[in-house]
Amino acid sequence: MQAMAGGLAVAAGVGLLAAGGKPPSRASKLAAGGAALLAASVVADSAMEHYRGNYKKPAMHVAPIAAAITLATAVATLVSARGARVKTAIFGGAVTTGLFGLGFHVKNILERPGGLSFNNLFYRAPFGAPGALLLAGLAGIGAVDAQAADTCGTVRLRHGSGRLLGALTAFGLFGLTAEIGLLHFRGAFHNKLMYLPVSALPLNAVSIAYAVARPGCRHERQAAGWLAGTMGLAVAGTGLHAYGVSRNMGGFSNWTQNLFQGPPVAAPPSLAGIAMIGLAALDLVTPGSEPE
Amino acid sequence: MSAIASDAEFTLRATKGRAPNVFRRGEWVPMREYDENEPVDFAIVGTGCGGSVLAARLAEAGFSVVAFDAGAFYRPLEDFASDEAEQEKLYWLDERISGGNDPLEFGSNNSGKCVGGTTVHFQMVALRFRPEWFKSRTALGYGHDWPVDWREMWRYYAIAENDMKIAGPVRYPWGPKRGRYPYREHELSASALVLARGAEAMGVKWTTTPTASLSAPRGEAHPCVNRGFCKIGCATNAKQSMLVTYVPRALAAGAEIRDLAMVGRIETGPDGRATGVHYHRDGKWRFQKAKNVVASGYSIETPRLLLNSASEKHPDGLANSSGLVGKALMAHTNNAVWGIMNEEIRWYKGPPSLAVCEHWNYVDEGKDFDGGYSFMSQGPLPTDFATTLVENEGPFGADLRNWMAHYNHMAGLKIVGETMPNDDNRVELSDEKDRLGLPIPKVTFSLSDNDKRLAAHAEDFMSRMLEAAGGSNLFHTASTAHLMGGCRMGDDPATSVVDASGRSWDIDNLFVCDGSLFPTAGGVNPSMTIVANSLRIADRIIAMGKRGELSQSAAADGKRGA
Repeated sequence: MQAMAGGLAVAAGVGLLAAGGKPPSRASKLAAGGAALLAASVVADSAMEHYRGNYKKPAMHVAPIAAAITLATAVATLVSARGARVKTAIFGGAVTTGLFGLGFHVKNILERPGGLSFNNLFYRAPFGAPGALLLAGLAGIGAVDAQAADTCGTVRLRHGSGRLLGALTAFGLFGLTAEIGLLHFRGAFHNKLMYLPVSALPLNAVSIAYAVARPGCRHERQAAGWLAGTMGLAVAGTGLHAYGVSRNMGGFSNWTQNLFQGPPVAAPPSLAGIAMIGLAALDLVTPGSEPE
Repeated sequence: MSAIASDAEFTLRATKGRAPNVFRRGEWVPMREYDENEPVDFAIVGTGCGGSVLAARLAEAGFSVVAFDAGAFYRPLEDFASDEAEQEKLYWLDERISGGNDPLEFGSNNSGKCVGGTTVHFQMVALRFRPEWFKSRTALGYGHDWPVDWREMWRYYAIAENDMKIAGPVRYPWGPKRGRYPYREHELSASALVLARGAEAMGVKWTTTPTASLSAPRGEAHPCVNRGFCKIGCATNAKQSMLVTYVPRALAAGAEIRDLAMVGRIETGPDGRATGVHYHRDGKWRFQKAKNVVASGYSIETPRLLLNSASEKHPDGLANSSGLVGKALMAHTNNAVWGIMNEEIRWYKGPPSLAVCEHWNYVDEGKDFDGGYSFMSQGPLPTDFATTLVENEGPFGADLRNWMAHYNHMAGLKIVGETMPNDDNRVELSDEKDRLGLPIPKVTFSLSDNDKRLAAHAEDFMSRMLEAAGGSNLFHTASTAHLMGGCRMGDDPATSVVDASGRSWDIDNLFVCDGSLFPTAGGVNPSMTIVANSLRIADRIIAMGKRGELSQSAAADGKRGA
């Protein structure tokens, strides 16, 4: 029931915000796509995890709803440049929700015996999860901003917008490194491939930060390569997490339990979302990529 | 009738060149088989934390090994039910005469009968001894010194923990620094949180219990899903018992396991040295020739076997020139405090003892007793808990029902309390015979005044702690768990049965390798110490082989030094 209502709301939102208007620029599309992927990941993850937590607190409903609205708005931003202000406001709401979520999750960690202990960091509300909604909101705002910069077309504005998106990408990659690092550590890095994201993502972050800090210095191609790699990690990670689920007692034939038992299949796609934001940033700072 | 149709208790499974593959339903692994008339390098009696570890390590070193177990070779994925009564099949419930002032009860808390031994139903608490306990007499003034340095044991603990992928805390708050546990700690259960809350209120340290249950996948073994039936046999293979760790390793390395094979007697030759074992399997008595024999039957069955193997050369039983075989048997006191919590606990969920406090193992001030105790959060299954209630408080009928109505709101703290090695606590042979014609063991056990003071101290401390954590209507229970001692190892043939290598002082090709070697009990669950000690003994035996110090030609091909 809830899922159906959510789906209808999302569809209605997309229709409303995407109706008419001209198609957005490439950078804006990329950033909006990134925001959409991140939001989609949050919808799936928070709906599942908060369901597991029995929606014990009413506020736990907010996360999946806010993420669904963000997803709808991001999809709308992907197809139409219309309604920039409304979209910015909605994305701002996602940012606020993410920040509040972060606060709730930190409180949830600290209120247990042991406080800031590994046990609580491993198993209580994950501090990094609301951060994904925060990132989705910021990427959405960045998408609207990129559209404005591309419409105006000045190099200064485009570079400014690109730097913001680049910084957001680097920030997101570092944040994800921390969260993946913590959770893969919880899994004792039992599969050596679990080291891959924690070693690759920080390098990707540095490369994108460098590329947007000094536009036109031909580091864009390098950064783009890293981002493609991160995309690859998203695909491989999703597959590996599915394999991880299959290693639980009963495998996928017991999916109702084992999808919760983890590892979270919905988590790795968010890497692709961040990579898309990075590609948007590169598009804005790369000379000769200006829209016609 | 059992809902699980298992023929393991009646049908040989480790036979005809194959043994059960414990990781896959209905599948088998190849098993090497040895001729009974061809002396094997090692005949090992028992496949628990002593025998299976030794079998794996010696086979890996190239020795020919046959390991016997009186019990069945179970397939956890198929044979283990979520049913307390059915799972009693894992306990050693053969008749034993139990006496003394505090007679021991045998079965669930201390004796297993199946391939993998007692670890198949142990509670997975994987603690290390406090370093000083290896020199109890010298450093702390009680008991006996172990013939081994704690640093050596520390190295073997690390290997044991890695072999069993122990899930432990990132930092362990007591004792010298230890390396990181191979797997991360489990999520705390509500029952563990009660201990945590109480410890914080009392100002003592606590931690997540290092637990022999997987917190991440390992090979074909599934990670723990908090099913909670750990103590009666894990049906998902998350529990790292010997059955799913060292036993498969031993088989892969070429050892033979003989299930449903009860060894009744070790044969000695005219020179007094061991020549093999008599065992009962498939309806008749058989004999396996061996160059070396290892008794790994734990604290009752190992002394029973040695005593029952008396011969002309060894009239008092094998390895018994000191008269100490069967003596200084120890148990752990298991006193507990229980209470009703306001919040729902549902303590049957997850591994039962996920939080531990070792404060009184490491602090010596403020004690009116020798030794130490740890205590853990609890999660008894319904029948287990009802039995505890009836045995200690005696409620019956409606009264018992009223008590059990609180089951989902109960929490408890239970100790593993050190008892003193006392030669009067012992295993002997009675005149009565079991169905195989073997003398039934007679066990005498009494708590010392020191043991009682320790238990009283613990009950007082835990009561205050449970109250501080919000418990009400507290009540106390007493029982015992684990077995240690009975064949003490030491540096002096006059005061010990075997040397530091587990080798009998009297017979150079007879070894003991299990919990019966413990000179003192320590205040922690013994399994990890038995495994670590067995790994250490295995290395010593392999080194002896290389030096040519093992019986006759009992050295692996190419392993023996020139």
